Amino acid sequence: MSEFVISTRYANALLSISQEKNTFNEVYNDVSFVKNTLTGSKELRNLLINPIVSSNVKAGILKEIFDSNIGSDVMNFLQFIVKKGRENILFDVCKRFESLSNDKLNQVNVSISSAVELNLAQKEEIETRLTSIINKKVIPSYKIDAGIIGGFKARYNDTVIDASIQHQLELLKKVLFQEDYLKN
Amino acid sequence: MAQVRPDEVSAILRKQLSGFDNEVDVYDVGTVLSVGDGIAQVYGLSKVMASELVEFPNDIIGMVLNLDEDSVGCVLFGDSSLIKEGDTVKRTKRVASIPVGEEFLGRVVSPLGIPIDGKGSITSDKYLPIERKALGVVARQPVTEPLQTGIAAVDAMIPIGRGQRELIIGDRQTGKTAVAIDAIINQKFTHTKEAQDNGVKPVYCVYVAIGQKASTVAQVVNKLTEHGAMEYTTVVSAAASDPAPLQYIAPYSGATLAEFFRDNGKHSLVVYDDLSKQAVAYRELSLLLRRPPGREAYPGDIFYLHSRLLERASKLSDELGGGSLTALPIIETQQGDVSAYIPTNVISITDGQIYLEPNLFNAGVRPAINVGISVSRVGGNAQIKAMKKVAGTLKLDLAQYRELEAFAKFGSDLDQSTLRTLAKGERLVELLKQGQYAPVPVEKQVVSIFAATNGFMDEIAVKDIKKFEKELFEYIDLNKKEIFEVITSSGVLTDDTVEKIKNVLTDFQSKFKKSV
Repeated sequence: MSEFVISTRYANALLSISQEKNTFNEVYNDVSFVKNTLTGSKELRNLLINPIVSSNVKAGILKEIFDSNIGSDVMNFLQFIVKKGRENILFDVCKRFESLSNDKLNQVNVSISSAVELNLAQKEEIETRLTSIINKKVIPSYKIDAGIIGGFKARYNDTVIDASIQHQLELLKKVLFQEDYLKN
Repeated sequence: MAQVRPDEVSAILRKQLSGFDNEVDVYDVGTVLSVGDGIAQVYGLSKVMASELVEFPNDIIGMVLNLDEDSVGCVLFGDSSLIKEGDTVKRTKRVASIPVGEEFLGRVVSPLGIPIDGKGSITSDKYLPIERKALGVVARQPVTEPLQTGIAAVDAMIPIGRGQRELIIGDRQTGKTAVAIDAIINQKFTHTKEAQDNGVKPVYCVYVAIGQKASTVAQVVNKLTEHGAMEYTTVVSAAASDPAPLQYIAPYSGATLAEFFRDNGKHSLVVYDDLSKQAVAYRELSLLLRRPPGREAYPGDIFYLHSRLLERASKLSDELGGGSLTALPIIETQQGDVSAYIPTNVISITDGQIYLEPNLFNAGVRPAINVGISVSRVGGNAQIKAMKKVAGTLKLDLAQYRELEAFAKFGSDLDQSTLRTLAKGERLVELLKQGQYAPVPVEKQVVSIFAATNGFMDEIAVKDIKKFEKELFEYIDLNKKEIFEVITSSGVLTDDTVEKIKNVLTDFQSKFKKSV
């Protein structure tokens, strides 16, 4: 079975149990915390997919890292995943959980790249406009990417809203390479 | 010195680049997970459609073939070494399609409709998907109009109708392409004014070259140009050096180009040269996409691959304009093995086959058509009446000849009637030999077959038969042109015409005998 299917199944299970127990917000924050930790630490990710390290050790490590920061529900879930030998997809499960919860909460992660640091007013303007376009609550994350030269680029799910100078230049290049322009 | 003001320049630029005005662009993307052997697995692209075109970096186009739960499998129409893991893939929101129109006549294009003959861009704003559903029952009508190939053996005994699918099958080097090219060249007459006066509508042709050497394609294009056939022909080329996905879609693109004419009430002829190579290309990319292999390692849907293509050949009902699309698929057999997978499949799909044999080819019978096992299941209704009349006897005579052919070796021990049948058969076989790029109009075919079946050639030596035929045409052209004219215009052989032909033949026969 593909990892996508498995991680969706685990994420769904966690989601429904959190709803049953009415601890959705808590679980959501905890999973985000785990996800951010995993994103930040390549070492931890490598450890989880390493088959040489036994699951007992992995469970111990996870407990030590997260015990003081997350609630018992998510902690139990982590231990369960390790017990089932699925710790290699823990990162995927967290991501799936987040996207499933976002669907449920009618919100969406948007990553916005710009060439220079945007000021607060600009950020607000972009967020309100994006909210009206996407029709969902926007959770922005900002990135600086000098490669886009100017303007900004917003990506949510698989869709890109591209208002960057780089993209404009690419389009211009395409138009100019058309034969009619080459001939004249 | 006068100067153009800068703001004028920018105004002109803005006007010229008027297509370039959208400030914000919205598009869907995915990420390349793995790439290799002309296949890319892409993560994301969640809303992509099956067989949609997607854009990779470096202007490489791909087509989505597999829609999996968390990724999509794409085939690449370009060099896969220019793409690397993590590259961004963009949707085009366009199902694989090709521009169509009359502008494509006389051009050589790739299966994506991009001209490759160096004659500049083709301006056509009409796009049609390359995979179109074949028409249903209501939209069709039976095949009734003939499609003259100009090859006497075909037009007389294996007649092809407009809207038919006739397979050309044979080993390598047996003249399969030659038959198809002759058929295309012969359509030149349908574009003349006389043909239109006689109610023969013009036929537009598409020649699809799949997996052939680029030099072979160039040769074909040259020959077509030389004979003035490129004016009404489009050549779609996916050469052997092109990636397998291009070879796989080439026949569908060709069919779409031809369907444009059919749907506008015109007539079209499309040649797929050849479908065995297309099947091999499809097998290649199916295996790379990890679809399970079946017989001869072809995927399970290899039959559907060819049936959905050939079902697109059709004769439209009069309400829909009465256009037609005739298909001449070509299949290459290995060592005459017609019971291999692909040949049996395509034989069962088509409305008959023209079978070419290396033995005949080497014996000098060219076109090397084995008329014994070649058939046309629907073309008979489309044949003009005059031809039907003379071809009946021809078929019978040839069948009798083949039956007795084995005895020919016994020579003098045979009785008179057997010898007569053999002599007639030899002459008929000789008469049906024909040079390449030399199509014969149907009215001339009728007269020469009439002469042979009615004994006017029995006393001519076999080696003089072709000379007899040639001079006969010249003689009638000079003295009794009305015979040809009446056959072309009415299409029937009345008793009156038969009488006239007999008179002319008697006259000519005596003159010819004196001259030899």
